[in-house]
Amino acid sequence: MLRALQILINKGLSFILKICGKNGTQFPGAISYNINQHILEKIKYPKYVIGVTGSSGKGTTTNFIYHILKDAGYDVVYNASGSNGIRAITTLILNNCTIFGRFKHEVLLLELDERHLHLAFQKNKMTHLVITNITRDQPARNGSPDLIYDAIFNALDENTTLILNADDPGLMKASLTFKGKIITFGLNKTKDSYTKSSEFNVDDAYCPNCHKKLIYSFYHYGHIGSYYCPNCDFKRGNPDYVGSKINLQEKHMQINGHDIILNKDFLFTAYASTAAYALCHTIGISDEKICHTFNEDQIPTKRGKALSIDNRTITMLESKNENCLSYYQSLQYIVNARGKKVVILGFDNVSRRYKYNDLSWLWDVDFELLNDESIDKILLIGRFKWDVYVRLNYAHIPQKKMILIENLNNLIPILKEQTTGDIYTMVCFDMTEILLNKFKEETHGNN
Amino acid sequence: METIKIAHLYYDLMNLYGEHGNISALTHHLEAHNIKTIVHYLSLEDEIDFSKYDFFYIGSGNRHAFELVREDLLKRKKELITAINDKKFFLVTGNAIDLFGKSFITLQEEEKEALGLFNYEAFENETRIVGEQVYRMKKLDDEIIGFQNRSTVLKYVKEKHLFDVLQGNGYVVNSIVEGIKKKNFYGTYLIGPLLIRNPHFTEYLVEQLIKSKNLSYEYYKDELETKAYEEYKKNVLYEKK
Repeated sequence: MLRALQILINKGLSFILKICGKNGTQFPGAISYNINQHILEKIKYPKYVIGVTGSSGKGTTTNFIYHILKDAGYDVVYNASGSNGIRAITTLILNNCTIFGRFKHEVLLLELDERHLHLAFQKNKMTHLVITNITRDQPARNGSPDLIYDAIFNALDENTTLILNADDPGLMKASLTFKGKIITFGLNKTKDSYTKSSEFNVDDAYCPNCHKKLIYSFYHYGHIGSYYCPNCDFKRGNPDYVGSKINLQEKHMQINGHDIILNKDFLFTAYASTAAYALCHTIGISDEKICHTFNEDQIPTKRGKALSIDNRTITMLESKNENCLSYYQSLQYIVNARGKKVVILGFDNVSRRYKYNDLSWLWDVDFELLNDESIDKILLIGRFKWDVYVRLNYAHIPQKKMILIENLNNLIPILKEQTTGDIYTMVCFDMTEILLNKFKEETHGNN
Repeated sequence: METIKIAHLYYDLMNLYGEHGNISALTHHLEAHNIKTIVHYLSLEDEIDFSKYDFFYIGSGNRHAFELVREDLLKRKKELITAINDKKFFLVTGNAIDLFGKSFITLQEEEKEALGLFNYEAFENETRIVGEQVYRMKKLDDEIIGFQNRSTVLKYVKEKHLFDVLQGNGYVVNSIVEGIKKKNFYGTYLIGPLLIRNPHFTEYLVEQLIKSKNLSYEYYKDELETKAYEEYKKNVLYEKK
């Protein structure tokens, strides 16, 4: 009875918020969850309950899985908004149930916050869980990566089939203890892979089994790469699903020998494509159908309209603060792009989730990559621009290349008068909107 | 030219919070005083001759790393005692400070042996202690700034403290003192990196180090780091609401 009432309240609130033009992803679920934190245990789930979690890349992976499943004829519901906490998930699930608590669709697909997974699936377990990677990420909220690992694995039992990134030894330690089925995916060496790491920001340099130092044949980034223990059997080995012949510039790769078109030219896209392929193939979708989605019904990107100022293209790369690998991806992308470039970098707040402003992560980011001839200028914005300036100075970036923007109203004139080349913004969420509005004002929406 | 040899211990394990920034700041400041620096990055599988170095640094690590390092350091306890008694310089930040007390007590009340070099015990705390910190060090005019993100507290501390707490937390939540100072050992839960964000504290350490070599010392002010320090205090710490 209570369950039916909660479902009705959830649906009612969602409807009201929708007709009022409000974002209703969180609020109804928050009410339901606060009334009864066990409400999700009372749902009759469908044949497939698929979760996607990890420190980065989970949104893109979820999006790919959704499109493949949909193209293959499955009736899927997923959290398209990207809201992945317990409240948003509660809203989504209850809105898609009958009042008797039966989930109405064939597949429930969820992008899940690592720390909320155990709240959503206390009793009922997912049928499949894709874990993209576990790296240092928002430590003020998450603590260290081992705590993120514990938070995920404490919510699982052997009834869930895991689809794991084999290139992540910190994640693959699950193979030592997890009793359920594990399917793996990984990427072969690319032209950007490297063989020597400073190890200053590596999360798992040692074997989780015998504690000897892992040996890498190559790194993709951080501790992600191809490794083996010189003392025991722990190794990356040959993943079940392998991405190879990765050519980001041409947006092309192969997965288990099948040609795949990438919808973006990021290494993370290659990972997300391979993870999605692995999951979908595991539940029985054919290679042909998966390839069809990637290659024929190409999956739309979330990238907005291309903007430009004076015929200089603007590329806005959202870089997640306190996640050095997110920054690494943006840095790598900028350096690999053709021509002269200007980079806009900075933030007003470290996080939008909490008020803390830890800056130590700036020293984990490989800003040294910006020490490249193709970088014309770096414009530093936001409250912490001086801290970023100090960091870049230690990265040996010439001071004459850096411009501190004290007043954002001067940004466009400085861009136009003192810099050359295409424009790349590498900022966190709080600055994206502000910069976008400035660019739109400048271009009067003509682009 | 005088040379200072620095050992960054467990650089690949105790590396959670941009720890190598501390080494960068230290070498930069020493080099500004025309002192040559040599940094060795050492870890579990390395032979460490403690007598060869002037300065040792250990940063923060996750639980797995902490356990590996704790076990490894216990094997090197005798050399560590000798090094500290010989007034070698040590800077220990974040949870590395837990390694140097008598014991480490987990939430499950399991007592693990620590190095026992100093009189205190580290206890795992139910909740993490996270946030901006502002401290005062008696010998310095300006405040010490930084951040804490830790899951342990220090209890039964009988050693001399390093900092007075102006804002934030000390050995335990709401205590008014923090850090350990004994001979040339400096330990604190502060991350930041500490030496990047507090150029005046870095200079203080450098001064002690230079004077220990019987060399003359003149204050070096790093303009950029000082500006970042001042801007942070103005725009973030003491921002008018």
